[in-house]
Amino acid sequence: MITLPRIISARFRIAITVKLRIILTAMRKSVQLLNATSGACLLCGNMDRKPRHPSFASLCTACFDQIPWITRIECQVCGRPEYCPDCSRRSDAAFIWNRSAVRYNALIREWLALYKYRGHEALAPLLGEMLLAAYHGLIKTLNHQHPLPLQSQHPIDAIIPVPVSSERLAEREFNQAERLGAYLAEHTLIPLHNVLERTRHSGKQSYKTRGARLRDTHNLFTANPALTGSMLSSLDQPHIRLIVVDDIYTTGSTANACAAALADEIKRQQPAALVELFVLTLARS
Amino acid sequence: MKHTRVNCLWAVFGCAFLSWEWGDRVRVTVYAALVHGGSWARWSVAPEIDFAYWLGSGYRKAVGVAAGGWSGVGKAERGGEIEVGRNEEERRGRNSGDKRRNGEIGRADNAEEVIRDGKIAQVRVKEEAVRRRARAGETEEAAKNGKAVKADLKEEAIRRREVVAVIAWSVPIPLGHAVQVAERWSGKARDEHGVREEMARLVREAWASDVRLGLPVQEREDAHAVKVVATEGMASGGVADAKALAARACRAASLLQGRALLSSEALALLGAAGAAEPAGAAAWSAAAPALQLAALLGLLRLGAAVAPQPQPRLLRWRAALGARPRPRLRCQRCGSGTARMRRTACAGCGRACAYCEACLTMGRSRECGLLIFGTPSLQARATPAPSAASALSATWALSPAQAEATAAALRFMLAPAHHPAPRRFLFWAVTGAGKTEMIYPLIEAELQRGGRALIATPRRDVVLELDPRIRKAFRNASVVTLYGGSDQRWEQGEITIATTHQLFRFQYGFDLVIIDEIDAFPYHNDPMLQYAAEKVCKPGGVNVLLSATPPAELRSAARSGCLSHVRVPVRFHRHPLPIPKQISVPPVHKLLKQRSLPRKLVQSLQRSITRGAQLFLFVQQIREVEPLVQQLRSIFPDISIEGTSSKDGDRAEKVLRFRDRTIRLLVTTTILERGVTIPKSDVFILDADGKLFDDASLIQMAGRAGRSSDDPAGRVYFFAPSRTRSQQSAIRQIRMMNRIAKRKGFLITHKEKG
Repeated sequence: MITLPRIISARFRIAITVKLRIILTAMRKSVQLLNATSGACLLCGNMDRKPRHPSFASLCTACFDQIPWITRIECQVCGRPEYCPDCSRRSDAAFIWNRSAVRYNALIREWLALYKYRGHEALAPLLGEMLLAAYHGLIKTLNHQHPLPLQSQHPIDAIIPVPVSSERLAEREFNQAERLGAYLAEHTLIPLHNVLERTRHSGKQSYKTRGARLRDTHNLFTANPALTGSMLSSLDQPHIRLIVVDDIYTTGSTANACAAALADEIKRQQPAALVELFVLTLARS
Repeated sequence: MKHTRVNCLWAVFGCAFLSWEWGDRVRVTVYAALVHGGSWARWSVAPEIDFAYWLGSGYRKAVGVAAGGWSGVGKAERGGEIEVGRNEEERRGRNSGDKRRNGEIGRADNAEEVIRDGKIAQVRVKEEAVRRRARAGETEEAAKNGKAVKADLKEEAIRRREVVAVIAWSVPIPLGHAVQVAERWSGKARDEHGVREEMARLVREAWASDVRLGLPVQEREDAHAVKVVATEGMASGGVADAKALAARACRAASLLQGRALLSSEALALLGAAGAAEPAGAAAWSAAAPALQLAALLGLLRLGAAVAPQPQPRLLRWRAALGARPRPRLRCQRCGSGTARMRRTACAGCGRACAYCEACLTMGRSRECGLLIFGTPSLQARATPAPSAASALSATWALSPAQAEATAAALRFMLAPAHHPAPRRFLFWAVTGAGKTEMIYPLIEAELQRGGRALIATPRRDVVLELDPRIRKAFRNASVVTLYGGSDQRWEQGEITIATTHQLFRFQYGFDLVIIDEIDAFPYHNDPMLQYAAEKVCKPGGVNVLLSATPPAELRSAARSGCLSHVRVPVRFHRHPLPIPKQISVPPVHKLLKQRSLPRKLVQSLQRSITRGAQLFLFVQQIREVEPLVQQLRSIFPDISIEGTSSKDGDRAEKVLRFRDRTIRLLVTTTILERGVTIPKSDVFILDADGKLFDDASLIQMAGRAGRSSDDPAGRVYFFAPSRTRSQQSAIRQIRMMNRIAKRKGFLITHKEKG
């Protein structure tokens, strides 16, 4: 809000504030006119005039309010907002924590389907911004529990997206996890390294049961030795923190397999390195 | 700082380019052919076929013979050879008229040559396009047009000459670039060196244009133009394979006739017909040679789904001087322009190419994606004589007004076409006139002359409702119903019933196109659907538009005589349309605030309830529906009152309950203004002066009343604080229709009423 010095009398202050507000609104409106995208909401097409969230300016207030943010975490390991039996069952977790931005409800399913299957790539910045919120949450917890060593510039050293198979990439023409990771990389200035590879084409995860997923993801991913090597040499430090980025976390089997493959390869190349792996996902089902 | 911004930007885009090997699917080989006195360039998804076709002398002959002898498209064309020859003669006769107008010269003189090449249909379509362009600019710059047409013809002539040498670019390039190179090819190069130079320049400029747009570029430094040498395999060994391939090409072409499909859709169609392997990367590499050969034979056209817009005529001189084209793209499937394009890094072609956001729901159309156009079948057809109105009313049980209108439409449809552009005919029929019954005779006539008919309607439920009626009326015809998720998606039939969006998948597919409710929601103000509706009609076909409330431009075109039309001023039961009564009441938001409804409104509602009618109550705003329902329930506690809107999940169920009279009064918004027929109903429109209710909308809502012959005089009320132009216009149009009906004697007389 506009605040003016006390020397000006109250009456004038109000008058000037009102005029300034009019001028500012006019300026904002005229800048909006120059904008190529109209004020219509990206998802519902609504053209309301209510003030929008600055990071989510493409969404109308109604759509923004529907985002099911995860605000209170119940399971510290997988970032689930309710009681989680999975993490206590798991003995071989290769990652430390997972953090997700939102719950995977009908709305998020619809948005992700629009993005992934329909190929509505205009949603990429919006979803990236949601992931960025999860990233900030992760960093906050990280700072709280493991205060950073002073010499480190970034709390995280690299972002590694979960790969899709070549068939899927040919069909979809983009890898959603890689796009999300790229958005995060661009906004946090953390380098993105595409070191993971899929060893075979497994069908869509969403058609499978929990048991089938756990079985299928065994040895599904490998870290490319050459790319991993170049990543390690560019980092050049004994203590490495990495984030694996994906769109949905359901049983955690994909994320775990990726983290395990990554940890194995780094251990093979630099046995002395201390690796901490985190998982960042858009939605937690 | 350890990581610079540049580093990260590389990281952002870099990853898309790791996937070099998938590129082959959407990367194409661009090549140029040197002929005597010029050169031309094109691109290919299966270059080995092109090289064999142009360089292996035996190959071209073999595929030509095989394609000609095949019992598909080729034969149909060949069978009609004499017929075509005659048509050419006729056309030449007509051309003299055209010539006088446009200054065109000797276009159809090479009929024999055209037939030999087996490119009849393609050439005709092209000619049609040339002519259409010529017609469009007829008045403004006839002289320039003449020049454009001449240039096109010259180009065509150069394309027919014997190929001396073929020079190709050594690596496949993204389709978007290849299209640019072929489009900008000047044809001036006369020797191999010149062709190489031009190719290298154009390819480099294509990449450079990406750099100018600020896109990341990964060009192969070692790429260059190479001369393709004719090998033994092309000349001899390939011939046996060539015949098999030609047969497959013809099969694919006949299956894709009249379609405009993305490559994945085309594969699915061929797969469904058993002409290709089930979907997958292998299926495409198997199907590509056949499709490419079909394109070479002129049985298909391959194009980029998003392609550069042709340069505006006024700027062509720039292109002639070798200037860079303006980077304007257009979706070839839905016609959307640059504003709806979005560029993203594409793992398919390895550059940041554009996709069309407007038609995403139909599968993504991309700059590096193929769009496959099947050529229309243009056989000469026998034309039945139009039936007289009396015969029509007897066979199809039509009322006199319906029969007269249908007879007029039939005369128009069966009259010989004077030019190949689709002709439009407007059925301006009042609400409840029985439009479906009137189109039956048109479809029957089209089927009799061996054509294909399409009925396009905006809504899926209308498609599902029409399907059994059409199947019952035409028992011997094959009927295909298309909508999102339809399992007949890849079938071809004599009659096709489709939702409007499905039209994107066709081009020049139908002889008779019937478009229902041209003014309704999806078409109205949507240039994309209008584009689709226009391109599905074959050259020489007829586009029939049905509407109770044609939009202003169609009305004025009809009035000025530019658009052939017929009015059906009376309903099928031959009673006049109910005239709306205007009553002045305060606006709804005030009524809701003061928590009481005016006496005038309550009394008229009461009268309708006591006479046993079903009541429609239209309001402007969704948020007014629920409070109004509450208020009405307290006033009329004995009857069941419900409200519905576009946000109501149980809408379909409520409409059903309204239809079987369990709900007596339905408060609704404009969503129910069309398509709902309730036998004994009265219509109350609140806030009739609101800006959401234009005259078309008011006429449609008023048209819900008095639909059945048992209760032809339903009541219609406009409640509003003021009288507006749209209310007056709606009432005037309803009165006018009644007057015309009376003058023509279509209205039922007192004697008939008994």
